[in-house]
Amino acid sequence: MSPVLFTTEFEVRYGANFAVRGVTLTVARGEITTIIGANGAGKTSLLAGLAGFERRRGLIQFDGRDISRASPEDNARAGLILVPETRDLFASMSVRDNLLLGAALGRPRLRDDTAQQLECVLTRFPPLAARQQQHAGTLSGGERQMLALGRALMGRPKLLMLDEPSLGLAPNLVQQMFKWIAALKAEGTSILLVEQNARMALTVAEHAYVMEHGQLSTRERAGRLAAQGDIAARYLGRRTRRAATVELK
Amino acid sequence: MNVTIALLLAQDGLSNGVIYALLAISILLVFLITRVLLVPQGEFVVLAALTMVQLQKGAGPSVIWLLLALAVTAASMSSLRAWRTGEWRRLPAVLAFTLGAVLFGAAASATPLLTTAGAAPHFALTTMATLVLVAPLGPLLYWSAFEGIARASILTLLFAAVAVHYVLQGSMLPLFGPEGFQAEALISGRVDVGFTRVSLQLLLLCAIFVATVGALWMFIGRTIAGKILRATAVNARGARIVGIRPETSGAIAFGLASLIGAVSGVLIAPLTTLYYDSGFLLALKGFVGAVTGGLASFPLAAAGSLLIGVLEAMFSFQFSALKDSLVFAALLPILLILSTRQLSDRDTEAEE
Ligand SMILES: Nc1ncnc2c1ncn2[C@@H]1O[C@H](COP(=O)(O)OP(=O)(O)OP(=O)(O)O)[C@@H](O)[C@H]1O
Ligand SMILES: [Mg+2]
Repeated sequence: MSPVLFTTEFEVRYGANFAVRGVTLTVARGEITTIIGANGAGKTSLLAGLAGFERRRGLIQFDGRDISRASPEDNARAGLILVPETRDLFASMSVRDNLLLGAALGRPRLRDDTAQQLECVLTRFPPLAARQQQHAGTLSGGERQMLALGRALMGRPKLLMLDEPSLGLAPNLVQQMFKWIAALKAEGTSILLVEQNARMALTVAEHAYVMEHGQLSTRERAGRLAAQGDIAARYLGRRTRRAATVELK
Repeated sequence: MNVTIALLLAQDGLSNGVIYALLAISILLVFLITRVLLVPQGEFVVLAALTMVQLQKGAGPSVIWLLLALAVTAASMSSLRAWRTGEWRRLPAVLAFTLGAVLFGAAASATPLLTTAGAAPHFALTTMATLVLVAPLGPLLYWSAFEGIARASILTLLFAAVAVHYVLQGSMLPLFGPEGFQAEALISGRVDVGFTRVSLQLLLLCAIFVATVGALWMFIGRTIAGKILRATAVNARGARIVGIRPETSGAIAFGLASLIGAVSGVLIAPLTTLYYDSGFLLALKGFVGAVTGGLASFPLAAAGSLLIGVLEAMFSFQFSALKDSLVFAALLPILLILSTRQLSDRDTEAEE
């Protein structure tokens, strides 16, 4: 089966500085592919570039189509949906409106069962169901993460790109977040997962890459990567460094 | 100034205040969605008012030439952009709107032919024709001048807005001439409400104001299209992530502004004499109103604008030569208060 996403010779630049260069990446259908790497490695820039933000160059194929020049809006409508590191929720709008907006401009055939999809997302994230009329800006960090993920799910992603979904969460919520991610995969959603929490990411993922200075390693099976001595030392040693930063915002 | 005079002045002031409030709301709406300070909003108002006068006189509306010129510019700029970026998807909708605006505008220009010679044209007919001619100018202006620089800094956008204002104003002199115009009032007279006599004109103005603001509020707050528009204002990047095109939001915001501008023009036409260059001062007062709302709150902007109208009426009675400087002098303390408030907001955020 063809991969859901394939990109080669991909680069992202800020002015004259390369944040991502010479990247070849394959995301197989129905799998979780993860990218691990240190701060400033270029993970966020890579995801934003793939989604259509930032100045980029190179070939991107999504679902068999060339989307190298597609705008973020077109990508979102086609089912390539980003949950950014900054979440970018609509803070002064209600939780319910945030979710509805996630589906408002999605693939036309799916707009009809928005109500059903909303029901489904609210069942998945009970805290959101209790806060439907509350403004998104008043949510706790964990709830915000749920809302960002829920809003993305409303658009029925063919590929979900998650940028550090466990960032700033309390340890028990980190566990819960990875359970949700695994559940989504089990339901057939393809996922590209960027994480600093390499241990957890490598546990749920099938395939993995390591990112360093804007460049990707070769594709590996996640289990084999986790077993490699130097990877374990470099990325798995500093255990839950980020996860311990409770409720950042 | 005794109480009777003060009450009459307050009514005059409120009439103007309603117009300023509509201007402030449009300017705020466009700013929040596109970051453009829409200086040409005043031109929409004046264009509508002068068009109303021409149509009442049974003359052909000069604004049709401006509509045609903007339509050609908008169509060519949008086609050029599509060709340069390889993004053709939005072009058909833009061209369809442009063509529709031209066809409806041409039809509206023909309304003087509908009235038999000598008879006054029907008020509803001239109003409709004015709205049809002026309301499409917003999106056409957006595609002509603003879409291409949508990602530029606020300062660049402001310069563009000032430039567009001068282009429009400059083209209005040959179209309408240097004379001032005032339209015939739809209704006149006053009703006695005990302590004062309220002009029917003011009551009509307030009714239309409430209806316009109410419709806008329903659209933005209740409909999914309105929420899509709001999403762009609240978080532009988040909006793009859910598939909202900023260009579409921008065009709709400009369209609402020119529609509200056209309504304001119809309302102000019988109130005062307007000249081809009266728009700038109107827009500035709308801007002061928008600033009283901190360039963020619609209700505060509307309330501030009504207050500006009343203060202006009082000033013009006591110190008529100074009325505009006094209104703008009021801007300085407001800005001072706002900036100290923003500073303290930033401090509390930093503490968190
Ligand atoms: N908007 C920007 N303008 C200029 N440089 C940027 C911008 N965003 C990121 N960079 C630079 O690009 C590089 C990659 O940053 P990026 O945020 O993609 O890394 P990351 O792997 O996501 O890091 P983190 O783990 O901290 O989120 C960094 O050197 C950063 O300083
Ligand atoms: Mg990052």
